[in-house]
Amino acid sequence: MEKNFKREISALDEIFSFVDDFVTESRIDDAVAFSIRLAVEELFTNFVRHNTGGLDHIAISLKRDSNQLLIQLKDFQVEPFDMTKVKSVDVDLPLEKRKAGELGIHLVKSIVDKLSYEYSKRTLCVTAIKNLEEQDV
Amino acid sequence: MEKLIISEEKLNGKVPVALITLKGSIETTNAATLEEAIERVINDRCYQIVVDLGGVNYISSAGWGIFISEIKRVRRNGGDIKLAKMNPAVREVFEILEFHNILKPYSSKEDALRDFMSGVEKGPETKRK
Repeated sequence: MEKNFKREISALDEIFSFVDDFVTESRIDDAVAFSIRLAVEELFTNFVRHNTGGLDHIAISLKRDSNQLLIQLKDFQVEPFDMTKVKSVDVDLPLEKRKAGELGIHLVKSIVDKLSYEYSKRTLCVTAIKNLEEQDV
Repeated sequence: MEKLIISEEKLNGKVPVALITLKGSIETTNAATLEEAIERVINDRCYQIVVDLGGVNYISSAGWGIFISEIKRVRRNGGDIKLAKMNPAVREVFEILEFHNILKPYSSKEDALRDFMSGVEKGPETKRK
């Protein structure tokens, strides 16, 4: 499934519906569905907040094969920004040194098995892969 | 995603404790409403806060970020925030973020309230290197 969404945070409601449709059609269990929602929300909000330039939409693609889920977001006509290289938030810091932001990419890296970045012809593409166990489907 | 429903209740025992009950999902578009609820309680000079997450099925980084910023303010005033009844999926994210180093989870709101009422439990110490 692939669809374009407006480059604005308010598009999240529509994005969650899109994810729900995919989860239902692909018969994915609740735990994996939770991870997909989280990864898509965190990646999309990161794109909206940090990518510079860009068209008025961001493309989200969700695919499933027998043992893998593929979550892909594409942003067109943007400057390069490799979120996968952003230094991970230090979750061992004491409370007074913790920041409210910066948690999203740490979460995505923790819940998927692979997170990759490509940039070509001013198109930025981030792909997250989650391996499925037999009990997940 | 389910809408976020918030209810607040002030319990006037030996120390005033606020019980904030949440239902639904906490994500980027509605995290501000959680922030407003906690701030209403704090502005009412109530710094002992129990958040009942029993009806919450999803919290993204936007929601966890609210807890990070509000707990600092609450503890500066000698209080604490206690999270109760996280479901397994929400609890897993809580663990990934190592929040157990800064917020003690409770299996029920009654346990969390009891700790405040008894004044024994002060929440976990923050981890230091």
